[in-house]
Amino acid sequence: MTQSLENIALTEAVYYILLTLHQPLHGYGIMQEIEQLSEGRVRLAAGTLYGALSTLVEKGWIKALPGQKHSRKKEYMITPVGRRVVANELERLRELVANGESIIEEAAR
Amino acid sequence: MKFTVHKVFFAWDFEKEEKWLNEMAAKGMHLTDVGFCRYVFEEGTPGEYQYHLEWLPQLPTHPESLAYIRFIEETGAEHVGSLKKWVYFRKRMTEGAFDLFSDLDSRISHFRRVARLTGTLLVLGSAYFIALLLHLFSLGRHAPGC
Repeated sequence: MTQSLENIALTEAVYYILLTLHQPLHGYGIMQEIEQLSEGRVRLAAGTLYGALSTLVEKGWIKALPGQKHSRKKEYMITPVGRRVVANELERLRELVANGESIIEEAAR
Repeated sequence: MKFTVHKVFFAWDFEKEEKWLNEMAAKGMHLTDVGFCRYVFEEGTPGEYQYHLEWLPQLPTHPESLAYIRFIEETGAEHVGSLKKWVYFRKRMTEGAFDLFSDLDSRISHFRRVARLTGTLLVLGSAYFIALLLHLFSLGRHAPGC
């Protein structure tokens, strides 16, 4: 049985990186966007982000956009595979939340 | 005003070294260049910078390292200097929190890299020591009068 890579739970950092890259962003933009989205809770450090971006490019979940003349900064964007990965993850998270809520509510009754 | 401090840190003590650099920075002495056991500081406003160092997988002149250093610089940090594969970064306190690693995985992989370096140094050191002993031993055997 081969398990698709896309069924593996994502780390918080990867999940947020994939989310923010629904628009083209460079590294620092990703860090700021994630901090904002999570209201300051998730702060990705630059070195960690760099490693995560390389891994995600390797997996084909995101791609580096061809450089623009005006900016030296490399921008990234999610790929169709990446979108599928996030969609699967969202479904998994929904299941977790739904089961958590129903069992905890049941127990509290 | 610039001044130089000579100090020895072992590779496995890089956290101690980092701590020392940050203590110096808190006192207004900011690292501006590094060499072998040599640190160049410049006096400035206390607590203006925070420092971090990292052992890269490749030499700082390698294209991959250059890309990495540029990436870190794009996040508002400054590349202060390098020594072998060690790179020294700093960032102004006013620019917000500065860390190179924010999760366990990336921190562990950096520690592994440093551990590998330490292991290599240990092997080289032991080989050197054994060679030295053998040399002394053979000197003893061939020395006149023995």
